[in-house]
Amino acid sequence: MLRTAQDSVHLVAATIGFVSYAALWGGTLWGTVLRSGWATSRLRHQTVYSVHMHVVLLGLTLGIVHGIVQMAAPYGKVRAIDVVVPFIDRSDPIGVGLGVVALELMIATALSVLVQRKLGYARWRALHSLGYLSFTMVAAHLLISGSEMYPAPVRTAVAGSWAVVVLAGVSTVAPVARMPRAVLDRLSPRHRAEEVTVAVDPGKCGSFGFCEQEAPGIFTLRSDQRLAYRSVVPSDQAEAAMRAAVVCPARAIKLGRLPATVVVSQPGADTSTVAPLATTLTPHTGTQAAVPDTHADPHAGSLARMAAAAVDQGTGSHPRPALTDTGSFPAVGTGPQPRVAADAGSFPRVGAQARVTDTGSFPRDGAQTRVTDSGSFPRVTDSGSFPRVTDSGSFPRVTDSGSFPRVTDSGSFPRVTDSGSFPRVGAQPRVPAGDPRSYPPAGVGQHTGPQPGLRPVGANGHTRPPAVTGHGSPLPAVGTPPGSLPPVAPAPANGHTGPQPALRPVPRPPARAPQPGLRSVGRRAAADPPPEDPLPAPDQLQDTGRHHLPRLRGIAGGRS
Amino acid sequence: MSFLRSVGGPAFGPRDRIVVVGTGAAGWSAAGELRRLGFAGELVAIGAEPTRPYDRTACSKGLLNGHQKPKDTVLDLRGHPQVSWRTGTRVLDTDPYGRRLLLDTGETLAYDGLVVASGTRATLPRGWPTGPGLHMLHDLADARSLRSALSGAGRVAIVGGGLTGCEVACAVTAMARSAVLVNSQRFLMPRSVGEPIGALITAAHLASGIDLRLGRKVADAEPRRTGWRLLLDSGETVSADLVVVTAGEKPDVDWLANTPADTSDGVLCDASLRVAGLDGVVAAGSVARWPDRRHGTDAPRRVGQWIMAVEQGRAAARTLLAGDYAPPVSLLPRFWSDQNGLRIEVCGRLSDQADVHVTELRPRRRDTARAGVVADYVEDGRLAGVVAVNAPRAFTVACRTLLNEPVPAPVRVTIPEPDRFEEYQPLRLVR
Repeated sequence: MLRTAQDSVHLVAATIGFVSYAALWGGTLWGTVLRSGWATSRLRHQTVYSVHMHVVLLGLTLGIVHGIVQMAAPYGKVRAIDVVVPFIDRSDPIGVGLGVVALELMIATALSVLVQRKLGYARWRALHSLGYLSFTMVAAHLLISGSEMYPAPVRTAVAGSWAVVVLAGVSTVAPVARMPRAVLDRLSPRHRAEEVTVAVDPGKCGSFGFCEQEAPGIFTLRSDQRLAYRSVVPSDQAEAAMRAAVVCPARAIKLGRLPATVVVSQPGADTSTVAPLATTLTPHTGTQAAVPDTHADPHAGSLARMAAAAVDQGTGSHPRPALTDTGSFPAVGTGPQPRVAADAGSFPRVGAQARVTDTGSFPRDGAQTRVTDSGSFPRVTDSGSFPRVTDSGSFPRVTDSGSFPRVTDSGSFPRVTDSGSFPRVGAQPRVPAGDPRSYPPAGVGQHTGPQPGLRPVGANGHTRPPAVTGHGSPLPAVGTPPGSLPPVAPAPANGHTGPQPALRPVPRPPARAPQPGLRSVGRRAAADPPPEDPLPAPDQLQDTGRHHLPRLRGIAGGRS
Repeated sequence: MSFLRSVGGPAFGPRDRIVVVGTGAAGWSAAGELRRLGFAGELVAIGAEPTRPYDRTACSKGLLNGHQKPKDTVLDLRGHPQVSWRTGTRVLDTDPYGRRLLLDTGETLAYDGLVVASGTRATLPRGWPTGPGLHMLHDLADARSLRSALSGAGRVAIVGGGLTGCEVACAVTAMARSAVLVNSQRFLMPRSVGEPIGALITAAHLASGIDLRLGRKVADAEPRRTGWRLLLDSGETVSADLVVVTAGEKPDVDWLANTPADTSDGVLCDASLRVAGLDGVVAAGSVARWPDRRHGTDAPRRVGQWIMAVEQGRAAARTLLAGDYAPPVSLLPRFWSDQNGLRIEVCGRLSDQADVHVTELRPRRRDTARAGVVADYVEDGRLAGVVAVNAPRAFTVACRTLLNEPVPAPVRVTIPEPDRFEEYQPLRLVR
């Protein structure tokens, strides 16, 4: 079949256009790979970057040629102005216009690389993501004005390739990428409380190695300067992981699923002397700071309400609102100090912000309670007496019988042996009260013996901080009202000495041993000595690392 | 409090209030550690800055070159349940007998335990004029204003070639602006990294295009209609659109002036970070001057480093809760810097008397610092400090060695004589 000259020119232009589309598709997809750091465990960052740049530049050049060739057709309908100004083409304004806009947008996006430093990284990044928009327009241009688009497989291929790019771009945005893990967390509450997830951002990690100094069992900076780490660590190593996250120079370590400790008493217990319920959510293991966390735990408020309800059932008395006794303040500077009055009550401290601001006059009268020892500085001399208690005759002390919940008081929690059912709070795994697990002492003022009625979760295997053990004596409960100290059985100074079935042996791999399941993040320096340790094969690693040529990256954390 | 202590319990119970003055790294970690150790009383953190605790090291790094936004630098408060953060509040005065603080809002705040973590303030050298275009870099507000000023500037003069000055110069060059750095020494970062590595880094910065004026001091600074003109003592002048002064900082201890504490340079503490002369008061962070045998001497000294501040905050919290039986605190100084692709890491002490062994990782390369170099500081045949540039693996090995080293015996700090207490005057408003 003999073609006309117009047909021939059109054939060339269409071919160039298709090749341009293919190059742009590959380049855009490779840009997603570059951004998310997928390939960087095997390829250097600079290689990934230059592949992206060159493929996109090829596609752009062919796109420009595609536009120019359209004008070469004899008796063609496309004028010079049609390939520069969009939407004025007479035969196909929308299709051609989209192609023109896409080409110009892509050229602008590419040129913005030249002024990247001037713009600043964040602004340039936002500008560069316009590449997805222009690629979408190219695909639309192809579907609308492409003359070879009638066969269904061709249309499907074009639309499918566009969908792949959009899907890859969207799914690697940080909030979306986190979603599967968040959903899994929600579905598996048991693991949530027992494991901590560690994630290192490969784009930020600078391979400084400070994390290994803090948590050598979790992070290992290998000889090729890539960081290997465990992505899931047991909760007894959470503290080390947190220290590593704090000292990380690049702030690249993110922790998830911090262990929650929930301490719940059982209904029917003697609520007149014990705190009915205390919750805590601290990211450290082994701590049972008896303070409800309203910031981090959305259930904290409801737990407090449940505490109040439990007391209502048990004693019939209503919990006192937190701030009621602030209304009984005497005149400023004349009577008993509000600080003392507020202290004497044992109301729940949740939200008792009014105590923070002492409105008394300044300086205070010397005859007032808190200042009584001012003559005998230093204060150590009066250590035999407890001023707040012994002075109580001199001011109207609020005498609370302690029959309302004192949420901050869980340190003084006596051994509740009632093994009846208790309200399930949150999604914590339930440990039966008869569970032979017992817990090592967790922190200051915690009970050192087994606590059948309490249910700390994720507190296994934690040792007592050294400063606390320095006392050499058993720690009584924090916050026990002096009159209602429950008989505390003497415990050995170092806490629990009996068998501790709950202690989970931490599987520490021997040093320099292969660690299956490691992730790897890092860079490769060419002149470093070869790794002296056998490390897992590359397919065992979840490699999210990046490689580094220090010369080519001028910015800290280097995403240039 | 005393009752609990007399029965062997922790020094502070749920009826007590511990106030943390300062919301920097030290105050943040102290508050978290107090809660972690089970302190169930009221915990108030007072900070002069209006923001929540944030990562101060980002001020001269990611915040300037735009890699981080202010919200990226906010510190995690998940480990700090039930802490009242009173930001934007300054403590004016302290009554050590009545254990009260006077705030700039006019309120008084009683405390049972106090953590002094007020940090430092950036200061201008004496005699400098102030005006638009002259910046200091210490906190988030400084970084913000410097960043916005940098967008319209072409040439930036940096006075002071310490760690901050070098980081600012690198951030400026990374933003395609030209930087002039004036330093009084012949090489950069003399105190931070020592001479051998400092000289190598200086060569690397010269090669990367930073205009270095070494061995010069600024004799005069003069604001012009557009920008500034600096006259150096060698007679040359430097014109710049912006001037960033990173020449010094001063401990923020004015609010302790009426107490028996020694506030001549920071707050003098004993080996356990308890403030000498005050009961129930501990200090942490760059304001604390305490004797650490890891330094090799008994002389108390201050350390202004991020990791040190975090670790001091934890140690101070432990000391406060432990009461009279606190063990001495000994910490390994560690810090890092990332300057135009030079990853600088330092740990331990770098004394002038030590033997320095410099190891080049790639001896044939001319850009020694960029190719990787390690300097070991050896005292009496033992490793005392390490400086590494682009050699993180070697640094990590050496640093773990130092961390596992046994700590020498503690030293005692003499408490000031009691007669100073008699001179105490009632509190007055310091406005």
